[in-house]
Amino acid sequence: MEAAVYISRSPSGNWQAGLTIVPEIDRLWLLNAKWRKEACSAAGEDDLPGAEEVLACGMLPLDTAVRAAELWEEAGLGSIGSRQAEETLARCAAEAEGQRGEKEQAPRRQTVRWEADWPAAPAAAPGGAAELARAACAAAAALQGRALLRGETHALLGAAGAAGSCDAALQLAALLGRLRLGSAVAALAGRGRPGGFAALRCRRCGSGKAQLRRAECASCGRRSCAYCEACLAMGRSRQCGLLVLGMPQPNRRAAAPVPPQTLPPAADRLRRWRLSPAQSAAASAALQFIERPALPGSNHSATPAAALFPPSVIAAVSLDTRSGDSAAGLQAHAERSRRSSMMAKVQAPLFDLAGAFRSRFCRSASPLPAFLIWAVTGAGKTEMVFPLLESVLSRGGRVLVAAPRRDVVLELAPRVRRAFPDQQVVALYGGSSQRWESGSITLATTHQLLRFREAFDLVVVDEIDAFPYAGDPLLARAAAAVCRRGAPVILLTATPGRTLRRLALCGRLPHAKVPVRYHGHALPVPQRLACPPAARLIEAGSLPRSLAKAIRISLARDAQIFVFVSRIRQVEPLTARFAAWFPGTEVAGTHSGDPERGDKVLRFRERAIRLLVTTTILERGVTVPKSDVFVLDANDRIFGEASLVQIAGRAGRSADDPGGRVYFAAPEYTGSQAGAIRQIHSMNRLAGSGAPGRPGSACQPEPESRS
Amino acid sequence: MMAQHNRPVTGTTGSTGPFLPGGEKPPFLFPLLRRLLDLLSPAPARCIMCGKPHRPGAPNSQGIYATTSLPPDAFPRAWQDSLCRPCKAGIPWIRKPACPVCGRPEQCGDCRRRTNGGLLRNRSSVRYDPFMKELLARYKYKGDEALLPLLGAMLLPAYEQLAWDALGMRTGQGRSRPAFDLITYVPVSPERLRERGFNQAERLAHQLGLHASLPVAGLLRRQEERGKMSSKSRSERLQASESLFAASAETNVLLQAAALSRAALPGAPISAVQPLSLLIVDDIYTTGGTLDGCAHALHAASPVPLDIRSLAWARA
Repeated sequence: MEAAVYISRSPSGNWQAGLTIVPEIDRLWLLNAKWRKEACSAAGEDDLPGAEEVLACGMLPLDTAVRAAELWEEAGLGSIGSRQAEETLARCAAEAEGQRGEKEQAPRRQTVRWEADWPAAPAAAPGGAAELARAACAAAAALQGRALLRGETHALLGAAGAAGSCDAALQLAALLGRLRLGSAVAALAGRGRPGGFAALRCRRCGSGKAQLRRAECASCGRRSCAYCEACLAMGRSRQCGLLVLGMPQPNRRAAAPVPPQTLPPAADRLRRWRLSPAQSAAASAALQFIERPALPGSNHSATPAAALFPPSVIAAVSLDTRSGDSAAGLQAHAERSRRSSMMAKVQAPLFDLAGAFRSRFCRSASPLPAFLIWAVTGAGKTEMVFPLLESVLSRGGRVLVAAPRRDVVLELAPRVRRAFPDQQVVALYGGSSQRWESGSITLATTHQLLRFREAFDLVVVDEIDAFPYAGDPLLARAAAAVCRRGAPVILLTATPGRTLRRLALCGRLPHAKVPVRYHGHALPVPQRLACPPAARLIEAGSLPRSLAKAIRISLARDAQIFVFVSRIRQVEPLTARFAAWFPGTEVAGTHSGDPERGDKVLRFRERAIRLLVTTTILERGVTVPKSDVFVLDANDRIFGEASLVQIAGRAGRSADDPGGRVYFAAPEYTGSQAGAIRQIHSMNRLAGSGAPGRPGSACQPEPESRS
Repeated sequence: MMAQHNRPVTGTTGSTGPFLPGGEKPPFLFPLLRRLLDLLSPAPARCIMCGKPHRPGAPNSQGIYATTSLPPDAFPRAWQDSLCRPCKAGIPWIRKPACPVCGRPEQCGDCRRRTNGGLLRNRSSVRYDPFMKELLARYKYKGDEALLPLLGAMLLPAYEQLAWDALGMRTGQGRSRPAFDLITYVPVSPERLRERGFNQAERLAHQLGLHASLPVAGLLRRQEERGKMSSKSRSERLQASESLFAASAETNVLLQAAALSRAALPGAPISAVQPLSLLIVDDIYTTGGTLDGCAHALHAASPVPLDIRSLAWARA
């Protein structure tokens, strides 16, 4: 889209640059005192100053206009004559245009002097100043904590009933200082040649030029207009596209959040949730963390009035507004690490590619106050989070729970609604009907985080080591950007990656370990089983006796059987084989591309299906009471250590059957199998010898072991 | 507190985004070493359609997709290699059109019902099944313009069929002269163009123009938007597209120039010239109403007789 850049002379004689997507509104605002007064009073603001004189440059592509305004500000001219101001403006606009990397010479821009007595175009402000101001306030309120593209903004305002003349309302809200408007892909200062392609960055997801693609654009009429490919799935963020950032509202700013000291003691609050001893120990450590006294400088209750963000700097829609907070974060970390005796400097070993990448990527970052809950599979992580949510909600904050997959969000939503019946719970995922609603509790898949900015007082990230985060800096950035300044982040996982583990072990990441399941029993330890590759089983059509016997024992003890395979294409043939090998047993197979997956899992849980052949798609977030697990081809690369620990965690989750049997069937014994078994052993050891029941011994005869 | 008030909103020192706490500097040599190691491994090729890594030309050890029907010959070999096996197997190519007029792979009533069609022929490369629907939606609505070259290449099998038909030759014969004088495309309304940033038919036409070395020109404009076509029934569509298109101002001149340039004798009267062979490109052929409307508008505005064929990427 296009925008106009203008300069206005305030009564004190200083020129200021501004940017507008609806010039008509700015003209009325700056030059028509009556209109402005009406708008201000409708918005509940004191009358803001207007302008003596306004010089405008015609419609430019949005990012060019943004750049021109920046250039004007950089020039730093104070009170100069109109003639000089006019020339500077034309030069700034030409320079901004010239930096588009196009060959043809941009025509010199003509400036226009705005006159107060031009008749107002009726389309711009149909209902007069007061009505538009009310629409602007409604829009600003609805957009609080959001980061949306223009189309999304219109959809949200349409859904919130504030649709009427959207752009005009947005522009007025920006003039009132309640929104920030900018281009969705814009240059970041200090990167590459100013104005060059290398400097561009997607302001929504933070991706750099590697993820940007340039294409001819009919919206702004340029030959080369960059758009971001990294966040394309959430709508196209492009150079000439508008990104709207909501800002904290005046009424919110006035009400300081209740300090944690006023809450009842933590122990009393925890009791309500009926947690196991291990769970409540971890929950109270996390509670202590999120209710720690605010450090000086991280008090965000007093964000200054909107006047801080004059329209001229609306270009600075950036992910990095939290730089001022880094000092506080660092201090908090130093304090915590002082408590730890291990202050050794951590070095990433040479082979740790992923770890080094991650530390590389967060090297320049200001650390967020994060707390890791490292809880074994089936420890009841969700329940541990509830007291934390309660703590923030009771102080009037907003919380976010981010989960890696849509299935998890859908499963989580009813549980959270039951736990917090009087809170508005919004579940967001691709195609969610609640897309534009806002509530005090937001459950979202990770990509949905891109639509929020500095919106939450507590962010809980579930399964931090799972697929969408691991190796995707975009989602990590998104998760960081949705926190209000100083808001704590709780990381949940059963299998932290190397970096997280190291940070936790050396005391740089405060954490709580929950080594025991909610029912107090130890984790089932996987057993090794020599077995030919699954491809050979399919080919040969017969099962090795040891594996057949193990499965028969599981069937005899009436357990549900998971069979994990490494390849989608093996699911169907193996399902057919298993049906032949175990006649009379209901066998089914599912994988990520199976449209009936949800249905099959449900039937498996209801015991209509007894044996389910599946891929790693079911390694997490599935709870089936009384189940045994067989991993075929456990030596395959796809089954990493974390993955095997997660898979082993499918067994023995219910209190009725805490044993459960886990078998790694593979032709060879690999490091990840050994690592997974070691991890499970060490967690069991940590849980103490007091944990009742060795795996497998409680409810079944000791199975034959070949390892 | 005041320090925060003055916190600059612009000046950023390029922090890419914090998340995991307390990151440390990697060992000095590490980035270098990683880059060196990267030099030794081949870049993982990613399937253009699904984005999953795949190895082009790897032998199919499992024999699972051995039954894959090969893409038509006209689909460039380079593109076949940049698709993964399941995606390649999933493209519903139209190999043998059952309706000679619209190129539908099934028997079709629409073409028999039509009496005053402005189009001679339509051909489409693929059936508009859910897979193709998703692909087109990714390009058209999500704006994933990286798909354009692929979509352009996918036009080629249907283009070949049309070209042979236009020259009155049998399939597979060599062609000595260009089959068409001009390629044009179905326009979208200015509002839609501004909203979407591009006209998919125009982009496809330009891709085809590059492949086939033919000139591309916009000859039409859309009169007004009456809601999206996809939300209309068959009769509504036909009615709506009757007067939807008009020739743009320079069409007359362009067509005359094209006719003159191919006239055997420079001084021959225009009417004596063979009909000008035009190709209209669109993304989908549903009822044929849109393309027929375009053809009628062109016939009405043209100073010379026209043979109009159309090429739609998909046939619904």
